[in-house]
Order: sequence, then structure tokens, then C-alpha cells
Amino acid sequence: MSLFPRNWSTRTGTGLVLLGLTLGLAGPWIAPFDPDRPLDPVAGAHLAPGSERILVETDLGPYLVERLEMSPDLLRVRHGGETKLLPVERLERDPRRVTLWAGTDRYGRDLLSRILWGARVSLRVALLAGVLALALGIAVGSLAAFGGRFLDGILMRVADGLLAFPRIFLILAAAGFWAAGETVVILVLGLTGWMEAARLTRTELLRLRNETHAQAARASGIPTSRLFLRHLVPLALPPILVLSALRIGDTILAEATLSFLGFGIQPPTASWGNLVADGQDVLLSAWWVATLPGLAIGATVLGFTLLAEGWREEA
Amino acid sequence: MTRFLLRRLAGAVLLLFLVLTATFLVLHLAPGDPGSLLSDPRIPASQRQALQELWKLDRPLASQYLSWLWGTIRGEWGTSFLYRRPVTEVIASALPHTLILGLSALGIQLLLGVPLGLWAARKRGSLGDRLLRIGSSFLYAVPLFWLALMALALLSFRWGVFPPSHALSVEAAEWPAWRRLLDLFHHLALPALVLGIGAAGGWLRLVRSGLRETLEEPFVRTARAKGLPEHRVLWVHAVRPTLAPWLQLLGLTLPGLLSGALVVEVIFAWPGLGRIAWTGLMGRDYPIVLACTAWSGALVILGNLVADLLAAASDPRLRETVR
Repeated sequence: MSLFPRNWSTRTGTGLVLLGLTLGLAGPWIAPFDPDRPLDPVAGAHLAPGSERILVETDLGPYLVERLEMSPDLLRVRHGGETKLLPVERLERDPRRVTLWAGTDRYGRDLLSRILWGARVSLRVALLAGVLALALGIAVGSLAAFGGRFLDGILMRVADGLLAFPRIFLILAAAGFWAAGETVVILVLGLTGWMEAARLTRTELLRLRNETHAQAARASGIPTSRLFLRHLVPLALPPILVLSALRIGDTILAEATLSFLGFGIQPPTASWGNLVADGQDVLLSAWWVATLPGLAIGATVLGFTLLAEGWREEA
Repeated sequence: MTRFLLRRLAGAVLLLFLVLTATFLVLHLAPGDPGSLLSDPRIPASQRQALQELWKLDRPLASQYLSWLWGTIRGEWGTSFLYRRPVTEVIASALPHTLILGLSALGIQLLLGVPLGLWAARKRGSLGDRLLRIGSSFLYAVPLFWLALMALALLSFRWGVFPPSHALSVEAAEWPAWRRLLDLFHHLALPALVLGIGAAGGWLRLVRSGLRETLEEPFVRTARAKGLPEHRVLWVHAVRPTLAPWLQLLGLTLPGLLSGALVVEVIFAWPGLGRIAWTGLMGRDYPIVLACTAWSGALVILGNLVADLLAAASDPRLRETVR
């Protein structure tokens, strides 16, 4: 594993992950519009991607108009197929030409802005839940490897039991009984996602503990904590990193599924999952509402998967 | 063999017990006690009384747990708020639907994933292999619900090849049995295809990488050197030793299959366990949600048992070494 990746999977994976993270971080600054504000509730609903309109912002709210003629005190606009007159003193900003690259949703909100803001929420939840799951998994795995046979038996049975369970039922039951919200989603995904990391950590530690270098270190009389931190953990890290990239991809999918089903991030806050859910009633008439956020999820998860694959090949 | 069977069964029972305990804890660890869950105004007073009876809410937690466990084992799961029927009946009508969907999807996964994986392992590095890799990575990365919606939009709404929802047509009640069966398969096709194709990529990768390693083993070279035909080398010498791990993995993929089935059932309104659990959650129908959770766990455990037995049948060494 190196900082400057050579193989194709790592390069593409790193690129996609960095792209996703950058867009997620920079979302509020690069999003063209406020994600929660309807640009035009009447004539702006379900505009196709790439639509060009003129945005006229008045004190009564914004209009997306098709044509505009200015006279000294009146605006003659073509708006939703009708010609209307707007008094000029009500303008809050100069009218400007806008391109809605990803179209709009049913309330006339800009989908691109919603996807960018949704990236922020989805990635934050997935990263925090993923880190929580990994930390728990590494802790449980280390305890199992070093805590004696009895503890090992119990912890691994619990991990096996949870792994053998269709996770979504557990997640849904927990999220449904608790009030849905970002913290609950992070906790639920974190607490139900640690098992693979625990098993891997345990296996790696048990394998490494019997290697020559660890035996030599132990024979020299260093304390267990030092053996653990300096001689075992650094060597166990690469496979754990591979797993963590995979896990974060999975967590993005889990959060999206939870939000899609209505038990994750709640509207009007955008998350990739609930954006897809928004579009499921208009699959044909406004295909972009469900399709584009799904592609954003796919590209990011693909990035994490490729990263894991590339790391595994390089390791 | 008997010993192996008994150990496996004991493990399954233990796991089922863990699943039931987890289900109980999910209910009781929610903020407030189940009693405050019951203060939901949508729940009628008579039902509240019945639930308090069922869950013995006035007793200490340990006693509640034991009586709940005993009741669950005997099949006393209460009455559904939404369906106004005993939970047992609702589950009994949902279970076959989930089974038929899950088994069809499993069949599609294996029929697609395994042959394609074998092919990709033999043509490693070819254009077809690369396309398959990209395709399976894409299928793994996109959410299942999105795949289902895309299939629904194109195959059902636009081209009208498959019906969009439910397990039978509205007028099916008047049809003869053979036509109802055909109608069921027509409705089943799209959800099963989505669920199957979504997971076929995983099998493709597994088979491809497993076989790739085996094809480099000395005994495969020996088989080739003996002048055996290639199909015999592949099927008899190379596939056989990789079979048992695949069968064991089959057990491990079952939880994912059921989780996926829930999503697909919700989107296609397929009346299985997942759909019922989801509508139950939406309508705060706690007895149904708990029963669905417990049953989905039980299904996985049963499936794992079958997969283990198959694996043991295909590889005698496993009968001895398995924990």
C-alpha cells in the first residue's frame, strides 16, 4: 500500500472517493441554489435536466420564466405557458439566466443542489457510523484475542449471531421504535456493523501473536500493552483498512436504504436515499429525480469498493 | 454424521435463542418502556390492554422476558393492530411469499453468477472478463432499491413486460389454478430478477477468484497432463474442491438475501415478511414487526443449517473439522 497508487483500481477508487468527499465538503459553496427553497413552485416543478430558464426573484418569491421583456416599470414574462406582468420595483435581484443541470423536483427545488447537500449528510452519516463500527469491531476483536477463552467464546458467538441475522430487520426495528434522526441512524448503523471488523481483528491478532517477531518481543519481557500497540496492531492494519473501505461503502448503501424506506434521514433534509424515494412516484414523467441521486450513491460506493480491491492487490 | 447433525442443530437452536433475545431487547431498549410506546394515540385501548397482558408490563424485566420467550415459543404472538387478525395468521400467509421470492432469487443468482464466474476464470484478462468485472462492480455499488426502481420504470411502466406490483392480478380469484400459477410467476419474475441479478455479481467474483487459484494447483496441471478433456478437468478436478466453501458461503449470503428481499418486497408490493414488517413499522404494529424480525432470523438459521449439511455432504473432511 502506498500513497501514490500504481494500479488501476486504487487510482480510480481514490479519484471517485476524493471527488465524492470534495463535493460533499464543498457542497454548500458550490451548490447553485438553496436546496430547500422552491425556485418556482408552479412552473418550476419537474423541469428536465439541462433546462434553461430566467430566474426572476421578487419579494413574493422567485419565478422561473421562459421569456422576459423589460420596460421601465413593468416586466412582461412568459411563465408556465402564460404571459404575465410583474412590477419592476418588486425585484430583489437582477433577473439572471440559469441552467438547471440536474433538473428540479416536485416542489421546483434544484436537484443538483439537493444532491450536493445530500452528499454532505449521507457521507457524514456513513463515515461516522463506519468509524464507530470499526472502532467497536477492533475493540471487540482485541478483547476476544487477548481476553481469555471464555470471553472470546461469548464475544464471537454474539458476533456470529448478529452476522447471521438479516441486518435490515434489526436496523428497521431499532430505527422505527426510536425517533428517526441523524444520531439514531449513526448509532444504529454503527452498533449493527461491527461484527466483520471484530472477526478480522481477532483472526489477524491471533495469527500475528504466534509469528516469530511477536514471540521474540514477548520473550524480551515487554508488557502486553506494548506488544499489542507496537508489534501487533501496525501489522494487522492493512487488512483492516481494506475492510474499512468496504464497510464504509456498505454503510453508505445501508443509510440510503434506511432513508429510502422512510426510517433514516427525514425530509426536508436531503439525503441520497430520501432523494431517490422522492422520485419513485414519477419514474417515467420525471426520471431524473430517482435516477441521478442513485447514480451518485453508485459512483461513491464504487469508489470505496475499487479502493478496497486495489489495496488488497497491492498489500 | 449424526454427531455433526446434532452439533449443527444445537448451534441453530442457540442462535435462534440469541435472535429472540435480540428482538426482545430491541423492543425494550427503545427510549421509554414498551408501555410508553403504547401511549401512541393510534393504538386503541383494547389493544393496549391486550399487549400489556401479552408483555406482562407490570412485572420485572427478567420475568417479562421469560414469559415473552415462553409465549413466543408456543406461538402466542398477539393480534395485529393493522390486520385485526392473529399475528400467526398474518405471518403464515406472508412466509410462503418470502420463501418463493428468496428461493427464485437464489436460483437466478447461482444460475447467472456461477457459470459466468467459471467462464471469467478461464478467460481471465479477456475483454469479456473485464466487462463482467465492471458490470458486477457496478451492480454491487448501486443500491438495490434504485435497481428495482429502474427495472420497474423500464420493464413494467414503459415496456409493460411485467406487472408492477402484488403477487396476483386483481381478477385472479376467478381463474383456474393453472392460470393463477402462471399469473403468480409473471408477478414474481421482476422482483426475483432484480434481487437475483443484484447479488449475482458477488457469486461471479467469488467463483472467479476461487477457481483462478485452483486452476493453478498442481493437481489441475496433472489432470491436464494426463490428457483429460478440458471440461472434465474443469468440472471434476477444479470445481469439486471449491464446492464446499461455496456452499458454506451460501449460508453466509442468506441474511443479505432476506434484507434485499425486504427492499424488493416494499417496492413491488410483494406480500412477504419484509413488506409486512415495513407496513407494520409504518403503522406502529409492534407485534407484527417483532414476529417478522424473529421469523426472518429463523429463516436464515434454517437456511444455514441446510447449507452446512450440503457442504458436509460435498466434502467429507468438513464433517470432522467443523466446530
